[in-house]
Amino acid sequence: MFGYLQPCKDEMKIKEYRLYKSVYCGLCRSLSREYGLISSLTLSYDCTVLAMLYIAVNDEKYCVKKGRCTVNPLKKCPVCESGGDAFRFAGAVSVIMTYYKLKDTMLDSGFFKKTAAVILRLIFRRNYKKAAKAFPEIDRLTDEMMQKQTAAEKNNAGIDPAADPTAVLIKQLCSMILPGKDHRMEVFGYYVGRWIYLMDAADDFEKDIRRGSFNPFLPKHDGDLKNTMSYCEEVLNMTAAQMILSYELLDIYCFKDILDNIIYEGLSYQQKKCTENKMNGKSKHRHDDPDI
Amino acid sequence: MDSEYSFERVQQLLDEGMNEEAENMLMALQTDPDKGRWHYLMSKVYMNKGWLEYANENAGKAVEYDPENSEYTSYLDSINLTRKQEDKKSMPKRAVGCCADGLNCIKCCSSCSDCLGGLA
Repeated sequence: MFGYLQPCKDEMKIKEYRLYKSVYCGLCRSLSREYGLISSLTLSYDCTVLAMLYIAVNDEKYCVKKGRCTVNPLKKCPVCESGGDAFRFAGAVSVIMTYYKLKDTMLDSGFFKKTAAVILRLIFRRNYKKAAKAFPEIDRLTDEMMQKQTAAEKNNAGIDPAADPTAVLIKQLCSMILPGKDHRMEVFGYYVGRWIYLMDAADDFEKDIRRGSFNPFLPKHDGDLKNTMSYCEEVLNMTAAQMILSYELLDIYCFKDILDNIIYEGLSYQQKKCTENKMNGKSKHRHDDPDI
Repeated sequence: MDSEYSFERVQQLLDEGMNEEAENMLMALQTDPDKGRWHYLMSKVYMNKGWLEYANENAGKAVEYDPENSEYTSYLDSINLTRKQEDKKSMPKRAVGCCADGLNCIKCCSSCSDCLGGLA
């Protein structure tokens, strides 16, 4: 995943931040336990939100224990543990999606990045196989999404069809989180996936122009980056508005304050940071939280 | 043309949450002279599908063809409102083009085709 779904820390209470951090550390620990320490590298904010959402909509029992950081045992940290499948599910999504993303990097990038992707892919291969065996549906859906994404990009698809494969994947993952109940999670998932894809497209816009790569916002580019970024923001705002409508229909049993923060504050914060950075000539902004 | 194929029937299909059928019928109605209505309904089809840019473009075309139609202009206004809204907390609590009573919308949303029908 990409790491765009994050809370706005400035608007969080300290207890909420600690709880959020404990889920992040809980997912990291679960990844290390299931797939080995190296798989902690696949950890992302998006999968943390996925784990949190899993617990929240299923009313899964969880507890927060004192522990030590898996990567740096000298550092103390609160660790969330769930009584259900939330962390296993989010961990498998993290490992499988990273593996497929590496495959994509292998095909699309220059020599050095390609070589790094080949090596990392070999390292992650065993972990990927384990995750795919435990959650074959996630593997199948991700594979299908990657193929549709490649086809859409080859056809120079517009914004909607280009965002559709990622949106459908997250929609289907959300329906796995809450199977057979109602469609609310699916609708929410669709817009989450769409928003993530479009954020990544906006974030990569200049890089894609430089490299001559596909970017769905390119046909709207009139040569003025400021205009294009404000267009991106409009598209993202509209997607976020639909996401919020479906979010408000969900039954959230816990982590409500944190999820509210991510949806009502975090989305705008990330959007603004991305588009403003571009206008000020800065590059990609994500993964900016050194504390977690 | 088949008398069953009409914009009224498309609207009915949309109300029943049958988005794909509505889209197919609209494709068959492409030559209808009422272009404004066609684009307006197509916009709703795309909105249900989650294809928001196509929805926006079609809503704009509907207003271009029939600028006096208040149904189309208020629909386009509601789209533009969500595009310009930066403060996510104060966003209108109803879907674009959904029932007029915004305050009650969240309550009826689970059965409303404009909000959930297409994607669901």
